Amino acid sequence: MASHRLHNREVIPSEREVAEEVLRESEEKLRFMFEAIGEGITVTDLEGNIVEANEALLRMSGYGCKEELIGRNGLQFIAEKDRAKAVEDMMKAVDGGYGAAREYTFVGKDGREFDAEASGSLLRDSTGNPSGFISVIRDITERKQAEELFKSLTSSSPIGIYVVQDGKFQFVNAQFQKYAGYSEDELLGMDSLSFVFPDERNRVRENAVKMLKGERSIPYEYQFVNKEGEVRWIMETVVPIQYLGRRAALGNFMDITERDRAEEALRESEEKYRALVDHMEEGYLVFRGGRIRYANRRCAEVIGIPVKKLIGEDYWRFLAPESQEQARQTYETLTGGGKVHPIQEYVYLTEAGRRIPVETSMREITYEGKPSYAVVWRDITERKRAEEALRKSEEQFRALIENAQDAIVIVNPDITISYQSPSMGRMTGRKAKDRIGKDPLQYCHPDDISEVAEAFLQLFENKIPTVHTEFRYRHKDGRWRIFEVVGNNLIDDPAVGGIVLNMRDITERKQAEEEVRKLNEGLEQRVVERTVQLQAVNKELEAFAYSVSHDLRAPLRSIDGFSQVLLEDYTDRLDDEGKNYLQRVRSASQRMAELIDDLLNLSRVTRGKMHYETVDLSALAQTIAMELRQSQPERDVEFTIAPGLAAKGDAQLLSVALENLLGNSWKFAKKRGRTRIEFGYAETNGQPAYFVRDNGVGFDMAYADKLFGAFQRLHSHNEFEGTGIGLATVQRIIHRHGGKIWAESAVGQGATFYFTL
Amino acid sequence: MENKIILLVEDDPDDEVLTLRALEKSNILNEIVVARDGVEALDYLFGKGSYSGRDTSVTPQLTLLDLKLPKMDGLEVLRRIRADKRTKLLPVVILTSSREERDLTRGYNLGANSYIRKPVDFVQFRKAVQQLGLYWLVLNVAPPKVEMA
Repeated sequence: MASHRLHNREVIPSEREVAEEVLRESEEKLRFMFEAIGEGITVTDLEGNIVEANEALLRMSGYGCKEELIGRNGLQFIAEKDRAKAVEDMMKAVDGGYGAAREYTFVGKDGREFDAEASGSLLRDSTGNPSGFISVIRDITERKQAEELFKSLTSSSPIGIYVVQDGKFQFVNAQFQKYAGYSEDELLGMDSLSFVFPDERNRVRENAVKMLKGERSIPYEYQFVNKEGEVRWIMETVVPIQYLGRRAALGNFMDITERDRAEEALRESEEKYRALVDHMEEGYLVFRGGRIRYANRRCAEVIGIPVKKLIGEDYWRFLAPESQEQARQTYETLTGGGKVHPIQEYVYLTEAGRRIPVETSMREITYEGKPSYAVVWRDITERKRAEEALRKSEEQFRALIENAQDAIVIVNPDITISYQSPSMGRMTGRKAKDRIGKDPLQYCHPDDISEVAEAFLQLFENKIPTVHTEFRYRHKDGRWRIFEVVGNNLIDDPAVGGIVLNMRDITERKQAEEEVRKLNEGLEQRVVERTVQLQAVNKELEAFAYSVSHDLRAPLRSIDGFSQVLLEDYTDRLDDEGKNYLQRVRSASQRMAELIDDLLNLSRVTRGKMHYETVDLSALAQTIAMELRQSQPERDVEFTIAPGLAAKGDAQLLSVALENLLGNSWKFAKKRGRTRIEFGYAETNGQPAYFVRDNGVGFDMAYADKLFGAFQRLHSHNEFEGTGIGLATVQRIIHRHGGKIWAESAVGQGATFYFTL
Repeated sequence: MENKIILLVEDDPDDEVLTLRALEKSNILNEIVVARDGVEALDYLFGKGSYSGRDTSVTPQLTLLDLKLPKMDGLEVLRRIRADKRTKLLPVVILTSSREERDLTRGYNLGANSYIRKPVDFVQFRKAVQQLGLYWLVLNVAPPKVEMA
């Protein structure tokens, strides 16, 4: 343009001198300007031969003086590839009078190529015919470099970059193309909102406008729909720029879909953990500054406060008084960076005041971005209870073992003592501390060692589960004690892992046994002696009985016999009174003979051997009844004898018994007219017994205790004959059979004698 | 009947009198030889001691033997009677006060022909002796004589 004016001014006519001077000054000014201007200027003729060039052009091209350029064709300085374009542009300039600025590659003096922008104007002479060109050449190397930098920046950027002018894309970088799924050619000219999810377009437009106006600085997000229809989350900012000389908007955005997905994954993961935490048996809580910031469901359940209300509560108030100090110390040690045992046992207090033993572990975590403490705790009530039960049980067993009279010793498989109970110390005078690890047989009597060692060996070799033996053990006081030991193999029992010996000091028992044995021996001796004595007495008794049988009767026979002789041979010399007295002598001697017989019977019942057999009592009774009838056939007696009564016993003795009982009934019923005698078997007072019943005179029960005594009589001789030995004999017979005899009666009501066998 | 001798072995003189009286009152008029102890009884039977030279072919028709005797008791006398061929079959009736079972058992075991217990009642005793005499001296057929060696 300056060239135009320069030329225009040159051709302006003026007063000759003044005009020449003015022209010269003007020309100087112009030349100065021409030379001083920063852009290269060249004037060529219509063929392109250079007529004039300025300093800037020399600098640009590397030539030293204008003479090197003037006269040369300007096209020579354009790189071969651009020459045709340059000629074409010149033709256009001739036609249009002006050539718009175009970029060409120029070649400098040393062959160096550089980019420059050239624009040209047609020059006309004074007649108005085209005479040449004036061209302005601007070195655009730096601008080119800046453009290259921008291009490489935008194309390598992971951020989508675009320029929008008049609502259309004017520039899109490689990343944007990748996001959009369209090529650069397709994108340029497209509507800038065409990728925004339709529902969000207005919002995005508003946000973009606010940002461009400087009213918003925070990036906005929207859903971006690409060529394939895939929706992605975009975070975007826009800034106003000048682009190609006009206002435009430079946008850059990031695909935050992946970040959102990561957040989603994080959220899901957190949900999973939260669910886990909420359903785990352990309590989990987070506190900061003493206040609970998070608590899981379990905390709420156990403490009895809903989770929402737990948040913000003082953590320490849920610790029982006895746990406070320990818990706070642990906390302080942790906050001070120290180490604590990972598991601590406390007691928690529930809202209802219940005490819950817990096992806790505390660690520092970041929660809500701040350092906090997480506590995982477990209700160990059951475990504590079990431990307590176990401890009690253990205590009980220990107390049992330690207080037992018996001593317990556990022997290791290497035949050393691993444990001895306190009673062992009492029994041996040797304390556990001196014996643990020692040989259990150390104080065993030398004569007993081999037997005990053999028993141990059998136990260890598992041949037998239990051994029972005795051995002598030397007490610390030097005395030998006798121990009874029961050994059990509990090697495979992890709680024992050895042989358990249960020991008892039986020294006293042994002595007592020995004494008993001696006593027994003495007793046996005494029994033998007594038996001999008894046998002698028996013999004497027998001899006595024999003698009685023979010798006491003989004089009676003489008394009776000679009384009878007197009555027979001297009857004429005796008056009636004398005869009566002799009769009395005779009957007295006869009664005495009966007494002697009965006494001998009684002693025979006691002395004789028992011959057990089955005795038909009914048949026996029948026989006796028959004999009684024959003895006094004139009497009217009704016998009722139950059939089939049998018993185990001595037939002869039972016969004597029945003879006496039935004979008594016979005797004592004689004054009753029709006599009824019954023999049977019945239950009386809950006890089955044989009985003999009659309808005789009976007796007064007040004298019942005298019934069975020898020589005891309840009736006078005048009333009933008898020696008073019969029932005594019966009782002895019944007793010898292990039975009982008793009677029931009332005076005048008859009598019943019961007996068992 | 004269040759039917009764040997009464009895140490008690009262019993001897009473027994003889009972026999007499029962009209048993046989010759009665009384031995007052066991040894004397055997001497008589075997012709020894005070009876040496006696014709031992004459044997009693009946021997009434008391058990309780001086020097040698009745059971021993019985044993010896049964041990000797000459007297083995001699009818021997034990006539005693004893009712002891062992006496009974031993008496029969040794071969007593009968066992009579003397009743205290003399009337009964006489009845017993009467029956005894009737049985052994009249009803019973005596064993054959044993020839002396």
